[in-house]
Amino acid sequence: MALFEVTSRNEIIECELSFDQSIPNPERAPVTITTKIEQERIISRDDELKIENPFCRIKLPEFPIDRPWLPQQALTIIDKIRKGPVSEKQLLTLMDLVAEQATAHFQLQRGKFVASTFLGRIVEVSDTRVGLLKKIQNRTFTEEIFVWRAGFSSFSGRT
Amino acid sequence: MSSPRTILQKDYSEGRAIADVKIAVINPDNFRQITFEKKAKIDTGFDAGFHIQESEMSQLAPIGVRPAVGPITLAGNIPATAYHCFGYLQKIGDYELPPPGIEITLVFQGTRPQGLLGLEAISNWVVTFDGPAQSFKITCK
Repeated sequence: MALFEVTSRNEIIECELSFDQSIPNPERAPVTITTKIEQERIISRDDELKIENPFCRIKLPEFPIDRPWLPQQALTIIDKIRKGPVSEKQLLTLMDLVAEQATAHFQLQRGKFVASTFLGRIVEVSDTRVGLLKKIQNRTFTEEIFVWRAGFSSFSGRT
Repeated sequence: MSSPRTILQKDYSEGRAIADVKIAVINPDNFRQITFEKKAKIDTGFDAGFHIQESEMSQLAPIGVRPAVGPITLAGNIPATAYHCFGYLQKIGDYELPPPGIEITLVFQGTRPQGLLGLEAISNWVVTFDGPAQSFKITCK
């Protein structure tokens, strides 16, 4: 039996490797890999489904659940906006940060036209710029929204 | 095979291809609308529909349209912010487009009174620039 680690979906899972000793040349025989998660499940079946903290192994490396998902710099600018106007440079920085996080978080395809709040809530997505603006023109939003293009630094302008 | 229909044929003005355009912004909730009648430079390097100075945005408030802010790239790759909304190009020169017109993006930015007519509009046509003759022609296939 050997204990080793494998990587699955960017998570390190501890596994046990078992050889069937009844077969000659066991190192060439089929092996059984049991992950710790499976072991816990196996244990829990015997123990009336008592799973010890099943979520402890879920890792969100980019978006920790114990912290806001926007970076501190974005939150600072949002706070400033609530108090008064900010410079164009700061607004652009905020748009960049929110767009970057939202693109990764919602796995938005490059080139999609997106309308979202400054807190990163997506309100509309469209394949075309005109399509997006047409969709949002008749909607009223409680929060300020901005429009951007996934994977691009600007929504419109010089080609 | 039908021959191309001429939409606009005009001499350059101040060395530029400039056309008179009429653009409408409509609030789909109450169908109130406002039209902008401006001189616009034909700009093949501008990927939206119509660039208009930011001060004109105040005319949208009475019809209840609120443009959305967004990042824009200016000439020279300068990043800036601008307000965007949806509208229709209804007329270019003396040519009235079939209703409701061509769907375009309006970009409110800067202080230049002259607008820019970008690719969302002109990609619908064949635009010929005749540099030596200082004229341009817009045709429709």
